[in-house]
Amino acid sequence: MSELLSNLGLGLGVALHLQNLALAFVGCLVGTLIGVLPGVGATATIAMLLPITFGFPPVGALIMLAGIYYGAQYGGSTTAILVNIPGEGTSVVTAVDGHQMARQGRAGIALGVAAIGSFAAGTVATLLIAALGAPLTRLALVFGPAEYFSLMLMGLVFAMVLAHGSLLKAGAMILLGILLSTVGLDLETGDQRMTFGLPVLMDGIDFAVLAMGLFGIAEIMRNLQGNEQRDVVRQAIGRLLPNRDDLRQSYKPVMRGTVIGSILGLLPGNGAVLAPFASYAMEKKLAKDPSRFGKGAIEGVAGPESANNAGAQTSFIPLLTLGIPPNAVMALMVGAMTIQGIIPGPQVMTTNPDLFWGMIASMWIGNLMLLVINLPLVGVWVRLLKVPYRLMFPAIVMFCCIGIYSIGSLPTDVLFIALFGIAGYVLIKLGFEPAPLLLGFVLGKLLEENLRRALILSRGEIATFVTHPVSLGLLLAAAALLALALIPKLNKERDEIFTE
Amino acid sequence: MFGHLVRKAGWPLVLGASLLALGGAPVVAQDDYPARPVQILVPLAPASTVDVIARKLADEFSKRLGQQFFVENRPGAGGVIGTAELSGSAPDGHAIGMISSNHVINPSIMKTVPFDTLKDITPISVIGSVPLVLVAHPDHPANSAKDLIAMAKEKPGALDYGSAGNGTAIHLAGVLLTSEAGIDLRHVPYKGTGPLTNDLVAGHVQLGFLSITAALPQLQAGTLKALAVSTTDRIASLPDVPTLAEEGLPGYDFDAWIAMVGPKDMPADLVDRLSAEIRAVLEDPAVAEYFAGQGVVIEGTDPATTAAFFEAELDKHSRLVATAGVPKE
Repeated sequence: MSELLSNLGLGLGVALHLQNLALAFVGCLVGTLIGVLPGVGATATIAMLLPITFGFPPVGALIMLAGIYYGAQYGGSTTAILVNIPGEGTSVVTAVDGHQMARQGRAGIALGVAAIGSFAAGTVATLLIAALGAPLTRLALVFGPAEYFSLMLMGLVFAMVLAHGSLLKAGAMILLGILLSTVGLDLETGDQRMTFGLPVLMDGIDFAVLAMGLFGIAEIMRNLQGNEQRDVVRQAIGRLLPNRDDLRQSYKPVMRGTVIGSILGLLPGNGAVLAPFASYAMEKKLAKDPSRFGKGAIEGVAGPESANNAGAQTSFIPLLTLGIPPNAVMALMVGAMTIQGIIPGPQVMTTNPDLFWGMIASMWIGNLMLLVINLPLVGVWVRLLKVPYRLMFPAIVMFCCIGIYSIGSLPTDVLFIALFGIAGYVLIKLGFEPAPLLLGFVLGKLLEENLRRALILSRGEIATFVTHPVSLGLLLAAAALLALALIPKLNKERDEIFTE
Repeated sequence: MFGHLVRKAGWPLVLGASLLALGGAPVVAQDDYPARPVQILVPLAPASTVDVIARKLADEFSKRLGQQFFVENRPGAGGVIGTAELSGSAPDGHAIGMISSNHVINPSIMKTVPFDTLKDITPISVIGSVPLVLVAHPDHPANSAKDLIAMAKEKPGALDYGSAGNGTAIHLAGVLLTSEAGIDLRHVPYKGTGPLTNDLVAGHVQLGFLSITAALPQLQAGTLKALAVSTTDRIASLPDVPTLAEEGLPGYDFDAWIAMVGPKDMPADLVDRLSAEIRAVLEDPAVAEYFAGQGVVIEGTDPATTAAFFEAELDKHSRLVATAGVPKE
C-alpha cells in the first residue's frame, strides 16, 4: 500500500510538472475538438497528430497523446448525442438514447451525465491500473482465440438485447453487419472478398464511413423529408446540467459500467469495444421499465459512457505492462514510444518508472481536465442546436465530408458515406435499426478471425471451444442471456398474434 | 510545431527558392533542387518502422538541403495506394517515397497492382534492412532451431507459427524456413505484430518471427526465447543468438528492408545526388545509432545496386509465395 502511494506520488510529481500539465491540457482540448468533428475518431486523430509530438520529451509526448485519446472519446460522444453520428464503435450506444434525449430537449443533461460518468469511471479505472495493473495482465494472456471467439459470440447476443423492435429484424441487421465486415482481404488465404476489384476496398470498409452514412447522413435525409419534426432539437432547451434526480438515476449504471468497462478493456484484440454494448444490455435488463430504452433513458447514456471510458483507460494496461498494444490506438502509442527511444515491453515499469507512473497519474489529471473543459462547453454545444436546420444540415454534411476525407485522403470514402446514407435511409423507412448492424460489423471481424484462428490451432477440432474452460463459461453465459432475451419476447409476440 | 518548421527551413532560403520557382524554369536542373518543400510519401501507417525511418531522413535532408522535407502517410492495400500515387507524381524530385519489402511481395499476392513494380519507380537507395528473429514461448521444448527442426521432422504438421498476416515478410520468413528445412509447420496469420506478440507471449501460438525491435524487450524480460536470427550474420544486439545458416540451413537468408524510390523517369543526376545524400546521412554516427535502435541495419546502396536488388528480391519473393501456396488474387 505504501509502495502504491509512493509510486502514485512519483507519478503525480511527473504529471503535475508544468510542461506536462500544459501538454495534457492541449491534448485533451485538441482531442475534444477533433472528436467533435464527425468521422475523425481517436485513431485518425492520433495518427495525424503523432508527428507533432516527436520533438517533445517522451513523458510529455505520451501524456499529450493519451489526452488526445480520451479527449476524442469525449468529443465523439458529443457528436453522437447532438447529431446522432457515432465517430467510433464505442459511441454507437451513446447515440441510441443520448440522441433521443437531445430530441426531447435534454441534450445538456445527456452531455453532462456523459462527462460526469466518464470522470467517475476514469478515476476508478486509474486507481485500478495503479493498484492491480501487473496482476491483471495475466487476464489478458488467458484470452486466446477460442476464448475470444466465445466472448464475441456473447457480444452478438448483446446486440439482440440492444434492439427495441422486432427480434427478427435485429437479427437480420446483425447478419448484414457481419457480412459487411467480411469485405476486404481474407486474413487467412489472402483472397479478395466482395471488393469488386477496387483497391480501396482491399482493407475493408472503414467503421467511420459506415457509421456516418447509416446514422448521420440517413438521419439528415429523414429530417429533410419534412413531414416529421426536425430532429436536431426544436423544443425549448431545458436544464443544462443534470440535477440531483438525474444523478440518482445514473450513479448505479455508472458504477456497473465502470466495472464492465475496466474488465473488457484489459483484453487483447480490442475487447473494450464490447464494453458500452454490454453495459447497455445490462442496464436494460435491470431496468424496471425496459421499454424506456431507445427513447431517451438516462441510464442508457450513463452506463455505456462510463464503460467506454473505463475501457479506454484499462486498455493501457497490456501496453504498459507487456508492451503489447490491444487496439489500433495503442499500436500508435507503441510507435510513439519507439520513436522516443523507449521500447515498450515488460520492463518499462522498472526501467522508466517516471514514464509509467507519470502516465498513470496523468490519466486521472486528464480526466479531470476533460470535465473542466466539457462542462462549460455543454452550454455552447446546446446553443449550437438552436441554429436553424437549413443552416445546420449543410454544415453537418460538409463536416462529415471533410472529416472522412481527412482520415485517408480518399475521395471514394466520401462517395461511400453517400451510398451508406441512402442505404440507411431505406433501412429506417423499413423499420430496421442501424445499431445492431454496426455492432455486427464491429464484432464480425473479431468473430471470424478468432474462429478461424482457433480452428487452425486445434487442427479443425471444433471441441476446442468447449474444452477451454473460459470459453465454455462464456458460451454458457451467452446461451443463458439469449434465453433470457428470447423467452419474454417470444411470449409477448405470441400473445400479440393471439390477440389479433 | 511552428518553431520546429522555422528552425529547420531557414526562411531566406525558402523565400529565394520560391521566387526562383515563380520565375518558371520548367526544367529542374540539379543546382536549384529542391526548389520547394519535398514530399516523402510513406505508403504505410504513421509510427510503422518505415514511417519512423522516413521521418528521421526527412529531418536530416531538411538540414542538409535547405528545404523542408515532409512525410505524408498514404496507408492502405499493403502499400499499393501510396506507391500508386508516387508513381503518378512528377519525376522532378519533389515527390519521393519510401517503400518496404511489401513492394516486391505485392505483385505475387495481388491479382492487380496498378503500376509495374520495377518499371514505374526509380530506385534511389536501399536505406537499411530489418533482420528478423525466430522466437518461441519460454516453455517450448525446443531450445534451438536445430531442436525445432528435429521435432518438426518427427511430427510433421504438429507445430504452428504465427505471422503478421498472409504474404507479410514475417510470414515469408516462415515459408523459407519450411522450404529450406523441408519441414511442415502450420501457418497462423494474425492482423499485425501486436496481436501476434500477444499470443506468442501467452503461448497460444508456439513459434514466430519478429523484428528485433518487437522481440528484444520480450527476450530481455524472459517472456519469449530466441532460437535463431534470419540473416547470414549475427545481430549486434543479440550476439549469442545463432543464425539459421549456422543451425544447419546454409541457404537461409532473409530480411525485410526499407528503400527510397522516386517516380519513373527521374533524371539520373538527381537520383545520384539523392542516393549520395543518403549515404552521407547514414555515415553520421548519431543517425546510425538511431537506426540501430529501430532494429534497422544500415545499407545505403547506390542506384544501380538498388535496381538489381529489387529485381532479385521480386524473384525471390515470388518463389516464396509460390511455395506458400497463397492464391494470387
